[in-house]
Order: sequence, then C-alpha cells, then structure tokens
Amino acid sequence: MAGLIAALDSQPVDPATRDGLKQSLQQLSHLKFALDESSIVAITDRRGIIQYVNDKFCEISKYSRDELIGQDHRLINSGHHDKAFMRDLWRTIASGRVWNGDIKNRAKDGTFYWVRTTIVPFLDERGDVLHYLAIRNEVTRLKQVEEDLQQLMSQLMQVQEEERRRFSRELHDGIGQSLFSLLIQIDRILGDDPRDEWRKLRDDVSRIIEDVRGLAWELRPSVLDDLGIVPAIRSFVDNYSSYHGINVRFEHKLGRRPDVQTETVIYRIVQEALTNVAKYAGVDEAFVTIRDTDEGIEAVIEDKGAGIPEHRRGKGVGLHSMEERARSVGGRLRIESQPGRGTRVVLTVPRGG
Amino acid sequence: MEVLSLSEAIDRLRADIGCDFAAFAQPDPAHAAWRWTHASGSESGRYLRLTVRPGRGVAGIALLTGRLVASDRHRYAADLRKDDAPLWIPERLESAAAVPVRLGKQRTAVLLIGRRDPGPFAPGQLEGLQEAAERLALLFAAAQ
Repeated sequence: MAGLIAALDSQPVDPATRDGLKQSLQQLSHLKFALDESSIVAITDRRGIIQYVNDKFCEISKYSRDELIGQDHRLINSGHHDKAFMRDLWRTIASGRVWNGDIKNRAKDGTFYWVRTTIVPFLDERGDVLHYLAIRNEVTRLKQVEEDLQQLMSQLMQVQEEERRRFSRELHDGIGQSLFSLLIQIDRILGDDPRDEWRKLRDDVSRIIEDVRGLAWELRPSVLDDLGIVPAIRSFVDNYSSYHGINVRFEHKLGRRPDVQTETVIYRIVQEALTNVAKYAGVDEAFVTIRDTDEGIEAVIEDKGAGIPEHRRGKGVGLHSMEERARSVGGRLRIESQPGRGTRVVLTVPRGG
Repeated sequence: MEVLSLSEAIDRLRADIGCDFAAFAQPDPAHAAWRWTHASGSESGRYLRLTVRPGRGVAGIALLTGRLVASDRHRYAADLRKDDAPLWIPERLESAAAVPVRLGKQRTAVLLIGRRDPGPFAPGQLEGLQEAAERLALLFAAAQ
C-alpha cells in the first residue's frame, strides 16, 4: 500500500483527487494495521481455499504461511463441531449472509483453541460469492472458564443433593424414629390412664411426626433412593395434586431403574416443571410421561395453559438450572412454550448405570 | 339479629372491609384437614380443592398460634408467600391476612382476606377482620 501511495505522486492526476485517494489509502492502511494487530484474519476463495492469512493466523495455528495457503480449513478442523453446524455455516455464507459464531480449531501441534468468528462473504455484481473474509478472535480462556463453571454448577448440585439426602435420612430415621417410640410409650400410658391430657399430648406428638416426615420428604424423598424414580414421582404427583389442586396424569413405561444421578435429574426436573405449571399455566390439569426410547429415557411434562410469559423465559423459572441438570448427566432439555397453548418440557437422558 | 348464611357473611365481610378476596376454611373431619369452603371475590374457584396446613402460610400460622397474621407485616413474608402459593397464584393475591374463628369449645376455623395490589392492609381492615371473626364465633356459639 505504501508503494501505491508513492506511485500516486508520479501519476498525472488532478491534485484534489490525488489528495483524496492518498487519504483513503492511508486510512485503509491504518485500518489493516489495526485489524492485523487485533485479530486473526484469513481470506478464502468461494470454495474455501485459503488465499491469505495474517501473522496472527500463523501464530495461533502454528502453521507457516506456506503450509496454509492453498489448503482449506479442514487442516485446522478439530472435529468438535458436528455436520449440522458446518452445514449451517456454509449455507449462511454461500447465500451471501454474514456468519457469527464460536469455532474450536486444532493447531499443528495438536492443541486446541477457540475462536469467535465472523465470516463476511464478498459478492460480485451478479450476487455470486467472490471470496470470504474471516475475522477471528481467540476465546479459548473464556471457553475454558465456561466449561469450568458448568462443571462447578454440576458439582454444586451434586453436593446439594447429597446434603439433602443426608438431612432427610437423619430427620426420617433419627428424629422421626425417636418421636415414634415416644408415641408408642404414650399409647401404653393411655391404655391404663385414658386422660384427656395424655390424648392431647399424643395428638401433639403425632402432628410433630407428620411435620418431620413432611420436611424429610420435601428435602429428598427416601422413596427415590429406596424404590426408584417411578414411585417417587407418583408420590410427588399425589402431593402436588392435593397441594395445588391441579390434577396430574402420570404415565410411565420404564424398564430397569437408571442410575441414582439420572433418577435425581429426572425427579428434580419433573418437580421444577410442575412448579412452573402451578405458577404460570393457570390450568387444572397437567401431564407427566416417562418412557424408554431409542435415545435413552424421555420425560415429558406438559400442560395446555397460558405458556411461560416471554419476559420470564431465558432466566428465572428455573429453566437454566433444569438445562444444567440435564447436561450434568449428558442429557438434553427442550422447552416448547406458546402463549395460550401451553408448555411442553421434554427431557432426554442416556440410560446410564 | 339478622340471620345470614355463611356465604352471605363472607360477601358482606369483603364489602365491609373493602378487600379483593375473602375466604373461610373449616375442619374437614373426613380428611383430618382444614379446607376452604366459602370464598368471595374468587377468580379461579380452585380454593375449594385446597387444604390449610397448620403452621404453613398465613392461615396455617393463624390456626397454630390462635392470632391474627398479616403477610405484609410478617418477618418471613417470603416464606408465607411460598407456602401460600397454591391459593395466592390462582387468585392473583399480593398479600393476605388471616384470623382464627372459634367454632364452639374445641373446633377452630379460619377467616382470610386478600389484596390483589401490593399495598399494605390498613389498620382498619385488620380490625374489621378481627371483629368479623368474633361476630362469626358468636353466631356459631348461638347456633350450637
């Protein structure tokens, strides 16, 4: 570009145009300098063959310029992204639209790096792609932190669950049992001495037992550990129905029990989704289905109510934590919600165990 | 004295106190629980399916302590709101106050008023609730 600027001086151009051209070229050259300093830049032809890379591209990919020019981006493909991801990328840019996204690449020495990428297609007058300009910035550390955070979330949920299980057992088997033996002693006394004070005491103790059992059940129902997900959800649904006055139709077709972590995830997601039904749907009826599929176990929580309000989606309503839970056992969560037509939460988890 | 049915009494209570919702729960011997049996200003009608759990929510605490409880002046208002969600959400209530009603010597019922806007109860409204509970208790005593 410096050469071009010098050449302009020796050309017979009118001075105003020359100054304008010079200024534009100067600005362009500054822009390019700044871009090269800040970002990883590559230009490919319309088939994706690399025609230009800047120093930053070479630095991060650990390939020399010669090794890169004439190759396509498969050279640095990490294999992390599936075919659908790549298809979407190509479909977008081939139709002349800008693509934005994060891509995981593999350097020459086998290490991986993440780049936040913008690919801009340049078109000719007829609208055909001439070439693609890709500008990338490294976000490996960000991705690492994201991954760590996700792992931390999943650990946190496991620790919380374990604590709940311990407290629940302690309440149920410890304090609960002691109170029960107290009740039996009072019954024995009542047999000999049927006074009203004893009867009142008995009623009080039996109410405390109910409270303790209720608390233990709310923390984590022992039936989940002892008998499994189906009886646990049945007991949750019964309680939920009488608590909220909402009927729940529960259907299930499940072979053997999945492992404990998977059962916990299913239980908590059904619980959270039904709580959302009570909060937002405004219905008298909800549906829960758990069944085996080719992909693993599928749990569906559905209502025909008002749908989750737009402003509550994304955050709040526990959607985020439901997704995190699903992910923690390698599962997926899909939420379909339409105003006035209801909400459908579909959880798919691998069988595990 | 003019003889009112319980429904009419609840309607009148809501009009006199000037609140959005009023309801009455009494013991359901068949289920060993308290149930909402009458309401005025209800939007969903779901209250008929709900029980009152002693110690939980505004009405539950009123029953357990034998005193008037108002959610807007309770220390653990957030807990009350959570425990009362099955009643508050379908009725779109923002606050509620409850007071026990003595049905004769042993049995107790509970009277509740609710607001759909977030403002606090006026002292007069809570006094009105307390007086209504005492009037109802007299009516029950007279009927026995």
